[in-house]
Amino acid sequence: MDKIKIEIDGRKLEAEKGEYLLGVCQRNGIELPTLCQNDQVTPEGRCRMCMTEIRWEPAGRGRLVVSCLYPVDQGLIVDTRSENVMLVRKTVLELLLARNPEAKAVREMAEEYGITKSRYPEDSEYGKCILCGLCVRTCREVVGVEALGYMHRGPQKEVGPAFAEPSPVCIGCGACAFVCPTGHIVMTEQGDERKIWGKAFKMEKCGKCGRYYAPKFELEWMSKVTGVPYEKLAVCPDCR
Amino acid sequence: MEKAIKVKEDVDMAFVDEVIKRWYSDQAYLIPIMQDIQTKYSYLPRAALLELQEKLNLPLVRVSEVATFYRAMSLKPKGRHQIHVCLGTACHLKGGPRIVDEFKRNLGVEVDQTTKDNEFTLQTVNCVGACALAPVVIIDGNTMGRQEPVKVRQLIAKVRKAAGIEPAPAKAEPSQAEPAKAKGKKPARVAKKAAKVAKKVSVKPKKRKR
Amino acid sequence: MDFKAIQERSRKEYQDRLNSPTPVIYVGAATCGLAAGAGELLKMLPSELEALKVKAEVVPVGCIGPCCFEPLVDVQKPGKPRVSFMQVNPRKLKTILEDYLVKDVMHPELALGIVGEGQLDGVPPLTEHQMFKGQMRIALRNCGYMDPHRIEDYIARGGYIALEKALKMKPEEIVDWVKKSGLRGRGGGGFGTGRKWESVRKAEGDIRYVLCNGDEGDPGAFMDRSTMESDPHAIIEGMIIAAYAIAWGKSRAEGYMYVRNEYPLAVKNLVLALEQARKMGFLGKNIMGSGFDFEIRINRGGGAFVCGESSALMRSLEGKSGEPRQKYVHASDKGLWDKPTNLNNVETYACVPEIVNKGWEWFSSIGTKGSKGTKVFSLVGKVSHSGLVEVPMGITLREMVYTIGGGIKGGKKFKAVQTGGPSGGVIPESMIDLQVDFDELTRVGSMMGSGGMIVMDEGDCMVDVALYYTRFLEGEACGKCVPCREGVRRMRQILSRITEGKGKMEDLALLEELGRGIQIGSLCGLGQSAPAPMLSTLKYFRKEYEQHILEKKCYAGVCASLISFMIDPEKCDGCHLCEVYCPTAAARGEKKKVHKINPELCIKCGICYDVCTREAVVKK
Repeated sequence: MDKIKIEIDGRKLEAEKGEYLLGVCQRNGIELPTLCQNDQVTPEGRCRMCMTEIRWEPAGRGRLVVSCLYPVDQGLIVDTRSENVMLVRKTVLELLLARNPEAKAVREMAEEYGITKSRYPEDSEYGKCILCGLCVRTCREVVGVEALGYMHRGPQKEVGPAFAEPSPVCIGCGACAFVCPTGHIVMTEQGDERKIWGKAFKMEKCGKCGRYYAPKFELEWMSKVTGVPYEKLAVCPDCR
Repeated sequence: MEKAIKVKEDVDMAFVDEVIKRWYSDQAYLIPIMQDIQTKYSYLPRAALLELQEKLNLPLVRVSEVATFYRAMSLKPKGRHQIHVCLGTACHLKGGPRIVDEFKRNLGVEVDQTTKDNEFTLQTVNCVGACALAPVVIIDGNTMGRQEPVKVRQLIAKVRKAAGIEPAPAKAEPSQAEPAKAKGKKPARVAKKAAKVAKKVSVKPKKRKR
Repeated sequence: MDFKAIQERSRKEYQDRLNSPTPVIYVGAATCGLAAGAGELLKMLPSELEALKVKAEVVPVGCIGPCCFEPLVDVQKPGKPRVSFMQVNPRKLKTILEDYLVKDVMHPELALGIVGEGQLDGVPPLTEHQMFKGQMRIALRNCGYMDPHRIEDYIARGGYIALEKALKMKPEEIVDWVKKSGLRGRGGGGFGTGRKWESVRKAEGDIRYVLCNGDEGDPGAFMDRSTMESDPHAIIEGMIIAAYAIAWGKSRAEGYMYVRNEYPLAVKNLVLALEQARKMGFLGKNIMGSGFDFEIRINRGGGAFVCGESSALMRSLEGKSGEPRQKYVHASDKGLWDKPTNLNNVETYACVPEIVNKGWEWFSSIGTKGSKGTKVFSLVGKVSHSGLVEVPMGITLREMVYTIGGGIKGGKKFKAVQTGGPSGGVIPESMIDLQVDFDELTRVGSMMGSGGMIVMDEGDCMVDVALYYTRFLEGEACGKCVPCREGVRRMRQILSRITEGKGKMEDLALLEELGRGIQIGSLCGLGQSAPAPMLSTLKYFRKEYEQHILEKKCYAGVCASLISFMIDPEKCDGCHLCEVYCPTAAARGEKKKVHKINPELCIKCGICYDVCTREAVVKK
């Protein structure tokens, strides 16, 4: 790919033409807040926190773009903390603070931007879910099971298994709980049982150390997908 | 007569398969496929959705997402008669919300609910494009413009009559019950007078419009 | 196919009907006509005609525009012009048939005007009517005149001549013509159509998609519905020409028409039209012998305003939920199924055949510098003449409201015009001489949108209008991005409180700040324009907001919590109607004596106000 030169917050940097601006920033130690993005999944621009203001000429018209999806090109000039950018971030944080008052990740980020209390009435029905969609994308793109999706639209939008019922395809791997930035997704384990999204899984015991480490259903699925025999998978990662 | 509204999931799979074929067996037509199924059953039965998932080779979450994203689709069965009150801008300005309120009062339901006898489902719709004839009410696919809150009772009565349904086991509406008691007149007579008056009122040229 | 032979046959059929030795009765049977009661008339006609022993052909036609005068029934007697009768109900129909049709006795007060050629004493031509005089019909050229179920009508009136001409031109030349014509997207974006076609043509891909946006989600807009129902072939011809222009010589092409779920009659008429076009060789393989293949399929919306947004529409066409995509890469490069895609609105396509027929110079000679051609507006609300009108760009709002619109109904005072649907803003009286075009409307904080023009009078509350649109958008938001999903909901909460008399002055500053955040932070056009109705009403009618907050009063008489109903004892004659109709027994009284409204039981439904024949009920 072609190498190009761009400027971010006054710093002249090199990048590949067409790569997303967020990657260029992160690679060069330029901090951009994100709530709905990680390296493993496709960016979608849901949270708007990584917003930056770009222009093509020093005195040219500014335009707000989300850096997680914006492809850079030669001559791009970026301001990561302009007045407009800060307004968007503060607006988003104040709105999320009201929607998910219990979400620590939101509270902490809001404090960084000087927001300790929201001017909007607090909700209590949305738990800690900020609808970042990381769980949906992780289940689909990383795990490949696609057990999670969205239902409804607008303020009533929610994530979860199909029809909000225990999913027939969920393997209980817990990847969604792992990537959830606010801890909204709860996975519990008691004895030989794991529960997540309303589905209970019987856990397999490691052949060597005897620890309960993965749902049988997950191992069966992995065996089917990879062709590796179940017995080989029935040993926990630490003992393999 | 009290009828237990059990959701009968008696879905004709041959019909569902035929709908899928009608739309080229292509998942791109998921929405019209769902709509055609809903036209027959008044909602999207789970059995039909599972058949779709299988025949179109879709993840179940996609079926669940599409079935709940679009306003026209319902996972709950609807009544035998569907009422849609248009709440487009022109209809709003000309009293659409008041018509909704009248239906709510007369049928005893909220929007998107079905009456206990399973006859009527009250819904709103965001503009059917007959704006110059606002306010618009659609009953069983029949679009009617220039409606008014006072006409709501008549509209419901007409549907009942045409379908051979007895008038609602009301909660006698207070305005009709009380004057009847006060004057010793039978409620039926008051209702008849109201109907006569209603006819007079709707034919008279309106002196003022909201 | 032998186009000349088809044309001759079609023209003959059409002329035969115009010169029919037996009467022909046209009934306006588009959705608006049916909503007004035309369905009942169509049912009655066969038996009425039989009873009168008259043989006459009944032809359902589409909408000619003036919905306020519907149902429209046109009677064409042999040797006489086609007379359009207005607001026909069963009683009037009988009169018209018995008197005019049989006895040749005309009642001019029942007639709206003469459609087409010819003269008749006492009945002026329709084109002379105040509502029609300023109009110039390009997109609506056939609507109401022809039977939408007959492709022969379309061909007789000049249909598919443009296609024949275009297929003999170079595709790049057609793109050039459309660019030079100045045609801008009629759906709302106002993007240069020629430029769009050019970029799709230039893109890389083994297939190009040609899409028609028939979603028309703006409440208050119905020009696309009318065109799809009344003249489906105009759109189809436009699409085929577009497909040829962007794909011939580059790749194969496929077409889709995305029609809103709430328009079943439009779908029905389009399906029929497509079948007819296919049978005759205007669609499918080797169109008109040119070697160009193109097929159009219909897909339907599911009830989502957001699917009018191009990337959401494409997702919907892919069988997914209507979540828009962040579009840093344009649809012209990667649209439907990630292939080069051209999306235009119904009205835009409808203009294309005329541009090819009459030339780009003709089209660009109409309108203003930045906005060429005509625009169809749905003029609705508090005007006397409501319906669809097509006028050259640049007409003033004053002319729209007072001349074409016939002024404010009931002699009330004009307050504002709302344009652009939920994405647009209000324009107050002080700007009534504004020349309507894309750029002017944007300049004053509104936008053209689909062409909805909602006229409001003193009885409309601007805070209520803002709340209405905001609530609408809250219900239609897809929920993908935070600013729109959360922000619009909060805007609605604040506006709601204000209409209930629970507002605070700080709310206004918060609304402005929040509105700005949503405008610049949202992912798609829906969110970006969602604050417009609120911001624009706040800008031009701030006093009304302050009255709601500080005085807890709604002077327009709309916000239920802030008004009360009472009966004027001087005017009440005790007719008892209010009590008969009052749902909560709040309005009570003895017959023939003055009635009273009990404010504790009154739910402000306003029915007593509607039914009182003495105008004794007063809103405070």
